[in-house]
Amino acid sequence: MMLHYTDVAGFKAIGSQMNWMFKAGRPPGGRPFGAYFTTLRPDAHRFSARTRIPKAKQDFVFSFNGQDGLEPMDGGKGEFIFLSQIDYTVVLDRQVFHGPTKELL
Amino acid sequence: MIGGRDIIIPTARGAEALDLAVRAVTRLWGPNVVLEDGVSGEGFRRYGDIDFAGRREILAFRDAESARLWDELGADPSLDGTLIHFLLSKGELTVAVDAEPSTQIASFVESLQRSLAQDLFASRVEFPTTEAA
Repeated sequence: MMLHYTDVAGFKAIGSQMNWMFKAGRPPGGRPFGAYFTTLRPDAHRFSARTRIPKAKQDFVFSFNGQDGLEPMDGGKGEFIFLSQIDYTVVLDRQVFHGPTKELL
Repeated sequence: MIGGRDIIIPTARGAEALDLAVRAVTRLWGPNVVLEDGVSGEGFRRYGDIDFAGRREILAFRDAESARLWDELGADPSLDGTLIHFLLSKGELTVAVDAEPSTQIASFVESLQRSLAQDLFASRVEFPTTEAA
């Protein structure tokens, strides 16, 4: 299961579409341009420390099956962080859940 | 969106590289450092308690308060300089730090890179310490 965490604005923008479109962007820290995903659930040990996702960006989550077109991040985080270097679309039949992250727990 | 910055250090030394990195961060932050296995959550009172065999991730928090605040606040600018995350994978040691690391942490990572390029434990590279920062 692949997960994408976001804030309320991201949730509304992505969740309003039948096919979810995750926009690629430039993250901080010199990381590659891309749309980022993780296999870590929100209750994973030290989720915040391991992903360094800001708390506000953890409020909502999209989950989906499969990882076609996604590549593991370089280095050790490739075990649980994946990215697409272009906008990434998840069609309806791959979608599993979207909503407040606390409802995934 | 994922945060922070990853420095990927090529090394064939496997668990010994992780061992060296954790030993060095213990020198950086002293006895108050909080060390945990990032995957299992197992905590260690001191460097010497860790069996590195088969271990993939170690989280090093500057102190117990920092460790608590990372859970409470998440990645927050107020916590810059309080966490270094080591991840071991085939042929690499990844050191995950702040997106804009402090001089102290940048110096630490540079020292670690130099040390891993030399003979392990025979290294005479000086690591920064809290006192020297």
